[in-house]
Amino acid sequence: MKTPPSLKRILLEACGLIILHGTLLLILAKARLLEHLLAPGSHSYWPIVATVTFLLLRTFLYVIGPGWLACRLWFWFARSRAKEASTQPTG
Amino acid sequence: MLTPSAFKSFWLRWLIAIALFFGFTSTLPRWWCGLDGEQWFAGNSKHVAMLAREVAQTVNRGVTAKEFTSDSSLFQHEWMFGTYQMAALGLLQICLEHPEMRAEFLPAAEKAIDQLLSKEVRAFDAKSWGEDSLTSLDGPNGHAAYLGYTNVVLALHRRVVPQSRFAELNDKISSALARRLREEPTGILQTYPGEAYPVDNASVLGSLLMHQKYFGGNHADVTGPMLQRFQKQWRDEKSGLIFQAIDSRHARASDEPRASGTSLSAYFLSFGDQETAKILLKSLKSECANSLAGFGFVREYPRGVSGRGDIDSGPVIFGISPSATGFTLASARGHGDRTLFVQLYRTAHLTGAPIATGKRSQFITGGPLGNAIMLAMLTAQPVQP
Repeated sequence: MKTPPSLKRILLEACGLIILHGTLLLILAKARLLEHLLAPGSHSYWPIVATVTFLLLRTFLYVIGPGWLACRLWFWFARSRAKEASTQPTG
Repeated sequence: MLTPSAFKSFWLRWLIAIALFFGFTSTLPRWWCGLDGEQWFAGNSKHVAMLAREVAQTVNRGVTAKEFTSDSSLFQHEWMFGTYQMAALGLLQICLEHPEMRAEFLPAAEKAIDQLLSKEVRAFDAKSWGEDSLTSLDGPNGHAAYLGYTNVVLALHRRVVPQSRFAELNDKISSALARRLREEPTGILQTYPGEAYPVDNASVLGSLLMHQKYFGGNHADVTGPMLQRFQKQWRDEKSGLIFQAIDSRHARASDEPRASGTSLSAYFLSFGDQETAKILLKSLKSECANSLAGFGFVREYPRGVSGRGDIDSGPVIFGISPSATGFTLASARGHGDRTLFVQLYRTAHLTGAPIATGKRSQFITGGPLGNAIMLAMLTAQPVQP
């Protein structure tokens, strides 16, 4: 059975995504992505792949990420509270 | 208050999770991505100066056609021209709105104009026509894009610097364009031989209206009928959008009504005619503008119409036009439409990925052309009555 993620893992994964996004941001700052998208040339294949990957990651991080992180944190919290409830002596 | 045992309920856990997901997704992204949008709309000096420094640095460094990614030599040279033109417009608009920044950015704006007027930059137009646009001002050929786009910049420079060293050239180009329009039976000037685009003619008209309003030009006999053409003949009756291309022999539409051309036309016309620019913005809003979770976008084609993207619109994905979305920012700011501006800015923030380094900032997906365009659109001035 799959072990539910710990709080540390949830936060580390979120930080990992933010660091990956930041690193790509700095790397791609040197490329001319818009031009490849608007008028692709013969050397545009990889820049377009990089742009699309980066934009998908950025959209996930900015738009879906906050809700996704909130859900994961909630599930972690609910699980720990439920576990707490089941270990409490009854009666 | 939930008791510990309530956390065991599968349905309750998922219900709260779904509520949290939608709650966060519908509020946090739009708030975060819209923060800078509010600042740009208000003309925040810090935001303006940081992007302007990046664009000024590009102008000072210089751009060459070979730097651009397209395999087409014409597009490479058009983009070099477009980079200097949009850079000059953006920097001059800043000088108008923030006189305290004039000393820092006017030299770069003037360097961009010098580049626009250089033989190297105007070569793309000369190659297509077989004659140089500036040495053939007495001739009959349109040169609508090169002369129109350049003349808007020259007229704007005169508004910033009354004793402009470009005043004489602005007078000469304005006279040549007005004369050509008088002599042109179809009422539209050609960009290249056999090719006529309303958006390029919008730059011609915007420049003539400015010349007429501020510098004593007398072109009412051509600007009046041309404004009418932008309001009626070159506009799709149903959608209100401007046709992307006109058959230069028969003066009939030869391409679809599209948002990229309409939004850029609205920007150029905003320099001289509030009414027409407002009509075009209204059509863009009713036919093409939309938003999802607070992120605004502009579709390239009117409602119910689908089509492909090209170099004018950029890649059209789910019908969304990157160019029209960016250009409409200018009209939104020019007409004081804060809601639309911030919605569109959120999308620009998400896809443009602005990054600040030291005293400069840039949109990393923009490159020299994209950043110059964004500066011009984000600093567009209130529409002139």
